Amino acid sequence: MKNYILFTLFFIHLSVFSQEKFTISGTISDSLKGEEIINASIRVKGQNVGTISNEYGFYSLTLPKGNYTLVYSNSGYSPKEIAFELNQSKAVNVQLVSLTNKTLLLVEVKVSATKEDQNITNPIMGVERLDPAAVAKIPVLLGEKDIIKSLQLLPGIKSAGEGNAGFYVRGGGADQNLILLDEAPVYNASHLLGFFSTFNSDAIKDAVLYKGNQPANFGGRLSSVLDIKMNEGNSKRYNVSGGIGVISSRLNVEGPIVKDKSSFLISGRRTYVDVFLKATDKFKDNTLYFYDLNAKVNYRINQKNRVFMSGYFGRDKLGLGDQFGIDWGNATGTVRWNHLVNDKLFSNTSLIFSSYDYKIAIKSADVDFNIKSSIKDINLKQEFQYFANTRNKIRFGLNAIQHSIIPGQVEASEASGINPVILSSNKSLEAALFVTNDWTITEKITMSYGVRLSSFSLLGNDQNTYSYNPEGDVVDTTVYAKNTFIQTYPVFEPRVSFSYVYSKTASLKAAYSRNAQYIHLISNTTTTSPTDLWIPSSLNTKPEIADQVSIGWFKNFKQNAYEFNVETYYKSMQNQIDYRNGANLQGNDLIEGELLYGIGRAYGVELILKKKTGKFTGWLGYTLSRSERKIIGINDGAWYAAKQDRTHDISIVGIYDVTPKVSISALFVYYTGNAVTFPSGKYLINGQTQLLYTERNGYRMPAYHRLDLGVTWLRKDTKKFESSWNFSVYNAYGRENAYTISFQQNDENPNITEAVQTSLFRWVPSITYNFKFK
Amino acid sequence: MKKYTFLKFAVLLLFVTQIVSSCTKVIDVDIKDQEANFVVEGFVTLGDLTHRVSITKTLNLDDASNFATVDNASIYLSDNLGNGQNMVLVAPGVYEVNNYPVSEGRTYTIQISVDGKVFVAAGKMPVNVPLEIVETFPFSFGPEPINALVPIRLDPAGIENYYQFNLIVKGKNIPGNFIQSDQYNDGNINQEPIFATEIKAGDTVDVVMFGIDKSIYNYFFTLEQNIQGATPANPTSNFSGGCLGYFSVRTKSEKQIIIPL
Repeated sequence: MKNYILFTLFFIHLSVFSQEKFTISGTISDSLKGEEIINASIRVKGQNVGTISNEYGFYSLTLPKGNYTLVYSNSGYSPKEIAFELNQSKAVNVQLVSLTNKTLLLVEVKVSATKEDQNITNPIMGVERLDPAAVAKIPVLLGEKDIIKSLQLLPGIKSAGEGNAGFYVRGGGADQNLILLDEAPVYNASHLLGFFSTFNSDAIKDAVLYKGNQPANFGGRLSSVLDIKMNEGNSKRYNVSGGIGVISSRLNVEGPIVKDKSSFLISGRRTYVDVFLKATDKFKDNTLYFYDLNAKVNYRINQKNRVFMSGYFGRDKLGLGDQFGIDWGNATGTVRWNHLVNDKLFSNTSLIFSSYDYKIAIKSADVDFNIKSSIKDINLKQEFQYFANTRNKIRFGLNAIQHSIIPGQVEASEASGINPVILSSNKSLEAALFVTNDWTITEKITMSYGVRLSSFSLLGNDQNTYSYNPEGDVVDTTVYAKNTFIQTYPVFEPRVSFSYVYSKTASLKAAYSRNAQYIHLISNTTTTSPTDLWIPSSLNTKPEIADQVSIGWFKNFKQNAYEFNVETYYKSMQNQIDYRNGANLQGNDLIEGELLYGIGRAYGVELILKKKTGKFTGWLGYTLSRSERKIIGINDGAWYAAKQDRTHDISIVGIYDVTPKVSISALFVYYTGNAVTFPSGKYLINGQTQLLYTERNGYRMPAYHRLDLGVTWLRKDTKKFESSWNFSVYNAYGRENAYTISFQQNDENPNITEAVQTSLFRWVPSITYNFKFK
Repeated sequence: MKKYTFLKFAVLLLFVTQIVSSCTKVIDVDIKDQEANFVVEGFVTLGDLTHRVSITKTLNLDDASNFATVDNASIYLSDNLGNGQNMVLVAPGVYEVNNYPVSEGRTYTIQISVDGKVFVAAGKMPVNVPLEIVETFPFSFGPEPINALVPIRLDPAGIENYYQFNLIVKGKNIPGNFIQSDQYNDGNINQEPIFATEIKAGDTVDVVMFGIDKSIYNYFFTLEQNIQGATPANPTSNFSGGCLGYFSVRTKSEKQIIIPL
């Protein structure tokens, strides 16, 4: 029924007008770099009609015959006006001139007079967009700019712990975020046990995070989508830039292959902690480093066709002498073809590869073996964007993913006494059809609505497939032949969001969305672990489903210089996963027997006040929230706090441009403790004191707070060369924040059990030198 | 082996946190009180004639007194062939039965009545696996090498075997939950190392290997997981009736080793 209404809506409002009309279309790009500009605004002067450029910088606007002046603008660029006599459809490619630091302050008034109020007019809510350049001045741990850590400073997005690149969105788990790099999912987005994210800021053009209200072209995770796009590479001239920091160095090379037609980008980063380790006596035999490599080329075949190829490769290596080693990493590759079917219909075809794997190697005396685990995706996505008229913009398409998972394969030498375990990969198919429309109903009311029809099928692989009873014991073992369909789950995911701009500077929005998640991360550590395991939905593990409703109030002040947003949400979740008491999650063939399933709910209020222009910029964010689970077998089946449940979360970010060359920044974070399981008593086993637990997540970690300070000094800025220094102090007042709390016996009196807090990172200073040959 | 990788991972984590200069301090945590419960540890060991049960009570976490013993329980041990005996109190909280020979393959049941409560557990004597030899080698984690012990034995093929070790130096048990399974080496010569940082060069170590039941292995596995895991919990007891603890029916094999200087 719902289905029927939605589809009828599409057709009703597509056929309303039938006057003679023409289309202006083209791409919007940066005049210096040739990089396409995402989300640039195109408005008809004097009318409240317009559009925005898509993720490839393409726009299409269909208007009745007549004379028009179009205003092309984007924040950080000087706007451009072009007058037309529209009596035939035409292609207009526009280059906008970017404002440098110096000119930005001079023309500020002019800039803010343009449309800077997409936060109000766009019906999509629960969305955060980050421009890597805009957050470059925020102080960071060890000087490593990190897009994910900047996102964690926004309401509704919480860090997974001190210095951690993992994050929780609106009460969801870390695995409920779909992290896309040029459309390719990145399965483990962190380095070095979570302290750094895999995203090298130099290579990133744009990052958008949808907090559950993602348009229907995205799917597959419950809580959020983080859509990260890599730079295309400068198509006008060669650039070499880089940075030298305390723990890592970066180098970025980009330039045209064929000027204005084709460009490339190669960006790399490597840490060198191991170089320092070599210098110490204690750790000289140990290995510890990671690296990232991003590469991209694009070629504009003609006005109608363009291809992109991009890839990412990153790896961590840890080793103790030659006796123990673990290395892990992601590899992604995306090939895309943009095709303009006509001036109103834009097509993109993507073939995407993504993999994550880890390998543990152990060698000691006679024992010599490896454990390998991997997840690989092959993904085909076909999407069309139909710019029907000034009131409707339709996206539709399909997506098919094949997941292959090898949970843990053991390779051993014959002498080792270890039996090899060779597994054929566990295959599954995820498919989706989607359609979504951005509909401007009146000047004041816009609506974005759509549906994603997704399904997941688990395939046989000639190996044992188990069914379990509620106690977690195997009740049935069946071998399904390769590629037979064992189980298929279809899910209907409707999504709708609505905005009502009731005054020039304020709007009300409401949204509902359903999301499904078919693969699940099994992790029993407090930090991110490279050995965390992805499992597919199966006979026992059902797809996770979330329904989220949210409403919000969006208000801008002083010509859009200030922005104030309040959003509140309620999310109800089905088929949530937690672990049995004492679950064995490592190398366990019967891992699903260790899982428990139930429901969840999360709700909260998010506030943010931003100052977007002027010498002083920054924001103040606050989140009040709750995230709970109810699972039979845990805490007697009562509601309990999820481990990411955190009541209050405050962040304050301020950047002050003292002069055009020097800016100072400060960041303050305060949050109350996450839910945690502490013991309530103790008892004696085998002559040793053991801890007695009475409930899961029944206690709270202590409150966390920290102040970071930074200075950015633009040393040189000439036509050919630019250099800057960045100084920062992480945790400037040296607060000892609890990273973990463990309970131990006192050394002198073993009858006393003490709570011992471990803290990391006090007063961590850093210095980074950045350079750019232009 | 899974323990092996886990341990290594824990060491790595420790190592990384060292690098980022961690610091620790004792803090106050407001802990909720809980009702005292019975804690039972019972053993029936192949080759022994005397078998022992100890009963204590739990304490609140912030209670610094000694664990209270329970001296008023009546305990009955029996096997599946109907041979049964009462256990008697021999020391505070400690009950024993003498002259009770046990055999491979039999199932033993223990019944404890105390303060109107009844706790019952049963276990089948596992196949006896003798410990052939214990070797040692230094394993360098970084600054100080750890003397790893390698208890070597031939694991019987086709059945799940679980092992537990007591390491005794100068008459004292080395603290730790030393358990192994044959998950990755069923039917092979098992030579998975044991890491105990307390063992120093020159020490004479008595290595006692017990062949245990899966439920006992899981019990100690949970205790071990609690040190690392994000969801610590009480291990599942094989006793019915609501007490904590376990009843282990086990085989035993011992070897001595002197750690070379």
